[in-house]
Amino acid sequence: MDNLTYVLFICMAVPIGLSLFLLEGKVRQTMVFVFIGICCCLFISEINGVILNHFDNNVFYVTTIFTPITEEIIKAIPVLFYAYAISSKRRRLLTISLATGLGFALLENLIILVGDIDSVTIWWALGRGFASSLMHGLCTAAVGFGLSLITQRKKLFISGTFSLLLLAMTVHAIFNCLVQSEYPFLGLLLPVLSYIPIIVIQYRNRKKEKLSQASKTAEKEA
Amino acid sequence: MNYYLITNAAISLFALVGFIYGVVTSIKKKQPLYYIMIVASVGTTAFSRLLEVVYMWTTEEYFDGFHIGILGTIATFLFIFTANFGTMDTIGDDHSKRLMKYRIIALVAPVVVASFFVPIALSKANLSTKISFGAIYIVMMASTYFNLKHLILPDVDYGIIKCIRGYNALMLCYSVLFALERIALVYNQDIMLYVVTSLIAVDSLLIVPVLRKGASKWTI
Repeated sequence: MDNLTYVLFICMAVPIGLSLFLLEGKVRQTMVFVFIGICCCLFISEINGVILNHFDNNVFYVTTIFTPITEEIIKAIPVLFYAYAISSKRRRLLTISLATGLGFALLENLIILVGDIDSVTIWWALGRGFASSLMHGLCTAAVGFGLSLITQRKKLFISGTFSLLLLAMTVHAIFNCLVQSEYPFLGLLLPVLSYIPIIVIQYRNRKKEKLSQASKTAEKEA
Repeated sequence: MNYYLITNAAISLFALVGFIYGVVTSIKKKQPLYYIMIVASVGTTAFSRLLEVVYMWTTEEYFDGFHIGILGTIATFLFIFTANFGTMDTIGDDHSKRLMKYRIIALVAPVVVASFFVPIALSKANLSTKISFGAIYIVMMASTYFNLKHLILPDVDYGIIKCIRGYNALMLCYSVLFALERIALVYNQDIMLYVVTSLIAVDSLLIVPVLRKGASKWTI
């Protein structure tokens, strides 16, 4: 049997890659970053495998010390490139960083599913679906949001970027630590609880924008 | 280590309250980048302490040597350094010779922080612990330099620095307490550890409201 990680990667990457020729504009850009997220996951799965072998398959040690570092760095690279080479607009950065994180989580979930297929249940799927995807998305989105602020000044670039990465690694490590504890549901709560206020803020912002747009059009008509 | 777990949880909780307060105030009214970065720093404190709590709770042992909580702590001081160096120092220090003496006096802070590392370097702690703590101390030296500088610097324009002196004093206290906590950890001084971590918890809670009080005067 071929390496299942690569089989899964091809199954996911080919349809997304083909869809890029049909999509346009911002949607295509978002899908490109989902695709990049999947590629990042494939790359890091190999590196994490090497680290795991080096530490005699001590999963708890590796996932609380090393994988948060490797995964957050690899997810942040495309976002960093986008922020400094293409655009540092907050909304775009948030979208593409979230897309990268979600793409990463998609393949990671499948790799874990295939690796532990006998013990997989609906509850496992719900847990991973909600918690892991949100955690990867939110950690990368936090980096994206921070980058939109620190790209305003050159002096903030190096130390600011490092600070953001270290923050994302810390949150990631808490999640990894909690999901392997006796109370894994606490690990699921962390990203969900962080996600709810973000949705509320986003909803409020959109409502405000709609109201301001409506008042502008009303003024023009008058 | 149980009491240490509780005091660490208290630091995490208090810092989280300060962080949420900072986020809410930032959403209600647009805040300067400096304020947002300090709020992020307090948030990082909350998360790094939470990681230590979670680890101690799940494994029933204290982290020995390097761990991600160390990176979180580095991020805490790096955010403060970034905010001071990247935003506030540009406004407060006009690089004139007139302010040279303040720049030199401010060097006392990193020297004091470095002196706190001497007992750690001389201790029987393992090399990994010494290197990890050393990395924190290096970033802390950079951040305390600006904290002390902004505490003693006469105001150049608009009273911006003067407004946040209380915050800078709190940050210096935080740094000194943090340095003492690491010494207490290395030498297993339990009572000192509990006292210092309790004070850090109170300090973490106060940082954002005190900064907010000062920063609110900037717009006047």
